[in-house]
Amino acid sequence: MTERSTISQHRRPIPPVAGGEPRPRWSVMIPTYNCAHLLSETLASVLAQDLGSQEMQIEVVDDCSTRDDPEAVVAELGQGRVGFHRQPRNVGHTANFDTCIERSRGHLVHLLHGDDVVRPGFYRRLERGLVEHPEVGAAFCRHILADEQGHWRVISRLEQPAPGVLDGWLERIAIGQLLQPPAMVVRRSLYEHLGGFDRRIRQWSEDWEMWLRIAAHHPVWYEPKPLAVYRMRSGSLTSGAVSDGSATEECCRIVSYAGEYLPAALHARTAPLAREECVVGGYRRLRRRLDAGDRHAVTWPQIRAALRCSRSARVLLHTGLLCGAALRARAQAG
Amino acid sequence: MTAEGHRDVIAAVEGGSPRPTWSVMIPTFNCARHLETTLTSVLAQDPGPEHMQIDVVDDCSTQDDPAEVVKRIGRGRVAFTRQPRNVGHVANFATCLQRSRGHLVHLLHGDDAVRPGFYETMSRPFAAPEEVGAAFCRYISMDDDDHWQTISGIERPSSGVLESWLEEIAVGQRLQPPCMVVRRSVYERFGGFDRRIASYGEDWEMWVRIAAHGPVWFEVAPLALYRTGSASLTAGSMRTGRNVDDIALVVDLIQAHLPPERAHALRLEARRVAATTALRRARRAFAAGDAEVGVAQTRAALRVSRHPTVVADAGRTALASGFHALERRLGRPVPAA
Repeated sequence: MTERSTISQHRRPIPPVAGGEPRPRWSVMIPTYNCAHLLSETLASVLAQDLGSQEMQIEVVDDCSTRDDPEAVVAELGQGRVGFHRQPRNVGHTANFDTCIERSRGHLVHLLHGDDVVRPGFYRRLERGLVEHPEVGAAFCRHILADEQGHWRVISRLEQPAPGVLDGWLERIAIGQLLQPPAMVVRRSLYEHLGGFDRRIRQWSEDWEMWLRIAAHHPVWYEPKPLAVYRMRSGSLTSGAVSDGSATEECCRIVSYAGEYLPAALHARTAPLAREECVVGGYRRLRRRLDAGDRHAVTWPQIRAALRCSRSARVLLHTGLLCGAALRARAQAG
Repeated sequence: MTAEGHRDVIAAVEGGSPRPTWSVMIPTFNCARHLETTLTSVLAQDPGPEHMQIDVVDDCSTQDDPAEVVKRIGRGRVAFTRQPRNVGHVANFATCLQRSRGHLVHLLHGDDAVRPGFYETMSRPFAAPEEVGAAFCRYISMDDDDHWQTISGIERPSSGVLESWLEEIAVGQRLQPPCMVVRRSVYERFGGFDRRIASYGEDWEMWVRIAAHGPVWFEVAPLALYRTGSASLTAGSMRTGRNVDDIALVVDLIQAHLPPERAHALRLEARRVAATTALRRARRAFAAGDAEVGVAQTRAALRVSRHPTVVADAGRTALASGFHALERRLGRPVPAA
């Protein structure tokens, strides 16, 4: 009990749906913040596979956008079919996701960011595992990464060739983030049981912590068709969080939080690898920036944060390689 | 054969009968298990026989029965021809071109496929005022079970005629056959694929030849699906490095199509690119624990080019092989292929 209460102080509780009204199967909850120009594509992709208001709630939850008007897009494209809610003030993306979950009334919750899209067949294929297998808590499909113009660039890796419950999923997701939000569908009852997103996470990995927590409690279903498209934002590559090392630091903290609910033996086995992955994944992003011509991509605060996170032989090797590349880039420039 | 003696003649279409816009020519050889996917993807966007010819040309398959698939899926809409004996893929492609009657030829290998909208989208560039000789789109590679793997690169941020395309395509193969559509008149002018290229790369030589002739259009949507054969390259030639030598041969043949003042520089660059690609393959092999392929590809890379960046890259590859051996000893789980 004490353990439960310490965990939940960082997460908003998600109350069950009140009232006796019939509930839809699906809740497609669409958080937005200054992305109205992309929202019409998102809404169109959902409405193209609309199962009707009996079966599917569709709602946009805006975090008080300052630069555009998502409500106008909803009114025009939704034609009354799509709900709209605006936060009275900007609450930050994690709190806005919690509001999305709270406002959902369906049994299956799909948190679809207002700049991502689904491909034809997403809802029909993903509900299959969840409807036929009551023990399954969540389901996800492969995803496609699109650039800012919406052009597809990369397809996420194939976890297994056929649809079904994933074997050893907890072990895999405990080591590193493998998903993007639009690919994932979660039972509302699971959110009610586990609470909302972890408020200690400020940057961009709150979803990883959630998928990890879900995998620790329930089997997860996998659909190998790439039915979700995630839009990469160049902002995330150049943000201050990468430069000052706080992204790596936060990634490492999530590994520690996972110790609160992962089986002790599994956590002991996976945590060192996950910390390595926090560092090496961060290094990979830095390397890409370096190769793209940003000579000052690598900074001391990053290396310091990385070595605080892990000093495994692998990390030391990669640190040496990255520093070598960074020095070479500076020497070539000067 | 043409005057050069290495390419089949593609004669103009005879007779006064009206010609379709499209000829979808599907060469097959022991790939009947994938042919259903191929045919279904084409028939789903069939504009009718007066607009589109659909032909399967089988190179005398020995292990399966493509005729059965054509009958079952084609239901009379798809024509079928079988070579009297196995002629090899390059000659079979020539037969495909010779049998085509449409204005636009799409050579779609019997294990590849198209995505919805391919033919409608790919016919547009040929209506443009520039006399576009060929057009290609991005492609998605897929494995034996139709699972998508990677998406090809972006040549320009929006669809349109490519600038300095000849210089790009002359230094490295970056296309796969199902993404390319060519005017039949271009094949009539140039002939078929070069018969001196026996293993692979005959398509690359053709795309360079076409690029030297006139404007080429790029479509940014990935509308073609290319099957990466599990058995094709991985087996013999990767272990000996012969695949890299074969590419070097194509690089030499390509020179004939380049402006003389640029040919030498582009040849060196093409050899450098081929070596760099081989080294990337070598590093992937080392990472997966296959030292034999790693060593063969590294040596082949140095055979093909001694450019300073290649030598440096080979040094890094050697370091990486040691690094991966070390990682393995540190107990790092090897990522699944």
